Amino acid sequence: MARISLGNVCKSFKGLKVIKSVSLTVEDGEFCVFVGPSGCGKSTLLRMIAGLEDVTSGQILIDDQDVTKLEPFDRQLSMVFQSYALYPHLTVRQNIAFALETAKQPKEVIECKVAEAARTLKLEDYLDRRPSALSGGQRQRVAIGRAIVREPRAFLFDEPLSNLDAALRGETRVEIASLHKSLAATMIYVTHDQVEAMTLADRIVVLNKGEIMQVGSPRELYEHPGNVFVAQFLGSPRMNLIDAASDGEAGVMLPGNQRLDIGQRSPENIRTVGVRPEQISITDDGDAAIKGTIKLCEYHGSVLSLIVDAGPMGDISVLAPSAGALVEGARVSLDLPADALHFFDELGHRVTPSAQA
Amino acid sequence: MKPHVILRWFVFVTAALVMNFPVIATFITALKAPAEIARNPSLVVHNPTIENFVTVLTVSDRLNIYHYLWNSLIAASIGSILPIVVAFPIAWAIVRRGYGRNILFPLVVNLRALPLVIFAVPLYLMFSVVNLLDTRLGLGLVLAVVNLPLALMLLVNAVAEIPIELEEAARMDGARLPRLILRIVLPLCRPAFITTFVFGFITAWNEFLFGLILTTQKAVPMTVGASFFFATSGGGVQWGVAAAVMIVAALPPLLLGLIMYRKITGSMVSGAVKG
Repeated sequence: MARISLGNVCKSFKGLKVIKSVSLTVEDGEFCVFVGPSGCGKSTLLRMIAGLEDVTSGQILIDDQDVTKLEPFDRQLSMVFQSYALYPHLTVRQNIAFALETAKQPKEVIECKVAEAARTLKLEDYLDRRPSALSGGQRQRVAIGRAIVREPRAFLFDEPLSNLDAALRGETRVEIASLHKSLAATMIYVTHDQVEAMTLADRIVVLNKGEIMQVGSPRELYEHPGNVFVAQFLGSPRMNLIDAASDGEAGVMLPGNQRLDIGQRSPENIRTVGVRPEQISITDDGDAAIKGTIKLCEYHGSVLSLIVDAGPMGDISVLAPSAGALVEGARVSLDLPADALHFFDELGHRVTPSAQA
Repeated sequence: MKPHVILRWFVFVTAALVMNFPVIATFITALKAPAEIARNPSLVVHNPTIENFVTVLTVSDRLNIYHYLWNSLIAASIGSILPIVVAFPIAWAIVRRGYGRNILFPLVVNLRALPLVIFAVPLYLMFSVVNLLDTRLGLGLVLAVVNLPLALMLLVNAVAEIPIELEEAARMDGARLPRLILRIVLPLCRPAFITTFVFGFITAWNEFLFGLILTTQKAVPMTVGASFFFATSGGGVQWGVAAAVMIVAALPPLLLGLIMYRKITGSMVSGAVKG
């Protein structure tokens, strides 16, 4: 297993910069997830690590070996593709064995390893079938089997679950997580699905427009988003953002001249306050800074997802316990706990209030 | 049977008869004796005979149909297999590397639009210099050129239909170019090879012009050889023998088409529908 480092990696397509100077180190045995909206360059970055795309500038190291110019077959990485990319003319057994045969391993070794991979992935009964005779989930397991038999230096996953239905996606996600535990392998995983990113990752790399927005553990990113983009990208429904300005003391001024107490001295450069929907509570307090009318009320079983029209502050989404008797059109007051607030400056960067003087 | 079903069959059979009338007439003529051909132009044969076929299939000192069939078989095989061998690597390079996509490929494909007779004189002169006149190899090479545009077009489509991820997966699996081509691309192109071969073979077998120009004795193909039967003994055209030789000459490509029919249609469907 291996440690993968990117040093100022750039990529241009016909003069268009799709990756803008990315530097990152994925530690040995780490499960690293690249996440971002479509077109953010996450797949391109993964393919550059794989060697399927060339690097315009910068370098890629695997265990301190410079592989920037190496062909994919010399990098000893495994990749699982979104479309599975199984060889349709070969049986499952031959698909899994392909890389081992390419590496000219002895027959007995190949047989043994294929059998082991098939057992791990519960594919024993399908070894002599062609991919066309398999279901989507089975195909994805074959694709994973093909990756794990050869004991590569690292695994690359390119949105491996997006072609599966929701139930199977959850199941396979768990399988991938346990695979990572049992193999203790370095894995880089690309997805646009934040649930996959949050649940699988040791560390998440959030990308946008070819740049790294923030790197950190799922908890770090969720609880201390470094900028507005990360704050809104992770979490569902998205974090509410409200225009704000410092009042020079322990509060911020919201639109409509409402003052919100933040319990700490508010920094001068605050422009936006963010708060997650699940941290807002509905209150009877008539003095609450934010009041509004419920515009939309969706029943999600365990929670109610509300959109509250808060006048000058715009729409605010709130997650409330589903036991409550809330209906569309009702007037509500919203309580924003001071410790749940996030502050951002003009450029969208995080601002930390200094402890109260 | 319901009326509309009967009507449907009636239309179908009528259309089949009308379109195949020349073939049917030829076959029936082949079964008639010379005297009956002169007297009875109808489709009904009074005294069917296989004499014409016997004449055609008997080796005489001047005509040997087996020789022509053999020449055609060899020349058509070269003319249909060689284009595949040549066009496959080109097709891969065009699709995956983009070589010649803008100029070479359209140029080669448009070669088919040119009347091939304009190559006849230069080819004749070239062949006489390199001693390829009246050889099966020479004829086969020319037929290969005739078939190359079609082969290239079909194979470019076939390679383009292979999802790029398959090749990327193979490269990730450690396969270098030769293994990638032999184990992944080649097997996936097999239906296209069969289609290309069948179409190419039929075109090559039926080619007349270059057979006429480039061969005289040793390498005369079936199409040209058939014309020799039309006037065997100075007494005008022997229509019965002529018809019989046409039937015999048409059989090999017909059989090939029938045997390969399933595979051709199969590959065409799999080419038409994505997935």
